[in-house]
Amino acid sequence: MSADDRHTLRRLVRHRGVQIGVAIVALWVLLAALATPLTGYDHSAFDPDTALDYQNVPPSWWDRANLPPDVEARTFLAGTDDLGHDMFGLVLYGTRYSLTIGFLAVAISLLVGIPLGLVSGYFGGWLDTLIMRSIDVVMAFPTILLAICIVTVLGQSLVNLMVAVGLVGVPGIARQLRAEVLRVKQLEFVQAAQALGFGNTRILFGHVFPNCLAPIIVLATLSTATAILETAGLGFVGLGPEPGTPEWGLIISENRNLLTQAPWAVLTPGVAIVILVLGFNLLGDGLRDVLDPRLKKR
Amino acid sequence: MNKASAPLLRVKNLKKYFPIRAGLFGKVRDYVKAVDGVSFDLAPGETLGLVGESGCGKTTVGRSILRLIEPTGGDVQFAGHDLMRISNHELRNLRREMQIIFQDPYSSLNPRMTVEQIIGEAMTVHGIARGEDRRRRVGELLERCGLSSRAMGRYPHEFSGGQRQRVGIARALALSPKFIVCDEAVSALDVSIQAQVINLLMDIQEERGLSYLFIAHDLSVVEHISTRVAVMYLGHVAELATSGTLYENPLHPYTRALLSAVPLPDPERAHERIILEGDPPTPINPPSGCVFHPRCWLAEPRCKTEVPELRDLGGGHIVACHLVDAQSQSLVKDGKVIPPGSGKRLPTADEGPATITVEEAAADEPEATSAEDADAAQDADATKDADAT
Repeated sequence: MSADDRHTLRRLVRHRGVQIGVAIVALWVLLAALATPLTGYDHSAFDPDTALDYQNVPPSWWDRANLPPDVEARTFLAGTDDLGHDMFGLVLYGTRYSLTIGFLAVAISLLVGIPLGLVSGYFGGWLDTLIMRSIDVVMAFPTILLAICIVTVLGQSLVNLMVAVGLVGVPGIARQLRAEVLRVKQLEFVQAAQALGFGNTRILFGHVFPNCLAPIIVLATLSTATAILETAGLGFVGLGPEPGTPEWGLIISENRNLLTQAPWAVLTPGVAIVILVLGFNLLGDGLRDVLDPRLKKR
Repeated sequence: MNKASAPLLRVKNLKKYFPIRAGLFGKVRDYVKAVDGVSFDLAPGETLGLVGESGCGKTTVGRSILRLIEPTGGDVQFAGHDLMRISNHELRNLRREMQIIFQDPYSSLNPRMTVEQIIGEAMTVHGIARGEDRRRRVGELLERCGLSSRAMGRYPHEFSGGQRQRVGIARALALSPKFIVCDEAVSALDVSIQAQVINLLMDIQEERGLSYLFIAHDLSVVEHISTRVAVMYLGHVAELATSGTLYENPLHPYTRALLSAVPLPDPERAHERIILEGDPPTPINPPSGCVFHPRCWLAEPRCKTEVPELRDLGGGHIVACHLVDAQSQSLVKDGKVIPPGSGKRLPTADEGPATITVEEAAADEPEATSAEDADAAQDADATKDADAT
């Protein structure tokens, strides 16, 4: 690690947005890992029959006046829904889905977007035209609509949901990387590498790509937030995992008729989405401030 | 055939036209004629200086020869190989023989690599050295270029501009080339550092018998290092001569204008500056005839129509100007010899649009370029002060 990298790291650690973002994301990862010991709720062992008495119980800090004494004895931090799920526990299980889908979807975006962007920017010519015009076509569709199309074509499953959300993120990555490759490509050290007789592969991966990483790291972080939001959106319209899965969008959708009787059953997953997305956005913005100030005004 | 005198590099009629694309489908609308028929030879161990103002195509010449950009046309022979018709594989092997040093010491080194990687990578790629052997060779190169071999593990941003340029030189030397293009290699450096780097380049040349194509816009730097100098204007060679001849008896009006702009360190010696008016014309649509005629104060009607050929006046002095008399090796206008250097006050306004303004050595900045300003000549000092503030 060079002194330059150490300096960047120091600035990152001192950046307020990065601090808060990392704290939020880390907290969620921790909560998701410790869901059962923390709340006493075990999703795989959930039995609707034993939970019959605990339907629509308000959160422990809500007005709990007219509850039977045995129900009142149990505290639910975020209340329960009409099937007796502990909302806090359920939402923490949902975090596992959201984080996994978010990360894997972004991984798919990167896996497809990076080769496209590199090839397009470095080789140029008809290949560049072909790739960029195709991406223009893809970008003409609203993202959520495009994701719905992909899920409809591939069939409804958790994996396909990830693929859909991942593919929707490809154009952003490919374009950003292409722009960066175009900038780095004309720097003199790349011409020096050509003059020294290096092959394209060595120049591309040894010299060009390592100098294009900063904006991609930033974009990948911000894309994670978008991916989580899109996953929840698709889950909400019923294109996500099968009913009964503790996925945030699906929970909101399944509980939306409880909005008047048990608003906590809808608000809890909603608040969870907001906080996690906020965390990734703060982190992404902070990374951008430190790694790639040129992006700021876009 | 005498092998020693055979040129290492022979460039013939080199052309590079950059297409200008427009519209939705990128139709080629026009061409920028960056280099339009440049020819020269370079002997082993020789330095050819290539000078000219910004945008005259000198950098394009250097990079076209190395095929870092694909030339549009022309012939480049290097050490018996035809660089224009060579296979990609052969070209890559031949790259060991010819290298380049760049102008910008900041963008010419990969910021993510250590100095050892920057200099040593080529050795690994070409199978010259690896591991401990590579380290040793990189260390030697660094010390030869005036850096400590302990610098190996450091990154480029830890060095100053001059030191970075030395790393760039070490990188160019890593493959022991025969020919190096120095593309404005010292232009970005402080004057004191410039001298050190130039001396380093000259020492290395002597040791290794290198040939340089030394591209620069600073004539005094070029004079110091070059065996011969070529002056370029708008993609053409205007004049080419040995360094001594060119500086003592410049014949092309453009060369004279360039030389008159070199500051003399002697305040007593009054010298007249020839100030060319306007910017160089666009290389998209270069002027007819002699490309220099719109800015030349000696231009005649035929300069507008006839393209002056490069004529060899003997002794390797080559010049492209209608007004040069080959016999007497002088610049002749209307039967009068116009000597180079000092003392000729050239007529100002009677040549139509053409145009020079002559100023005394005492005046450091251009003055009185228009008629109104000329009226106010007495107030010249006052105006100058006003301009300065």
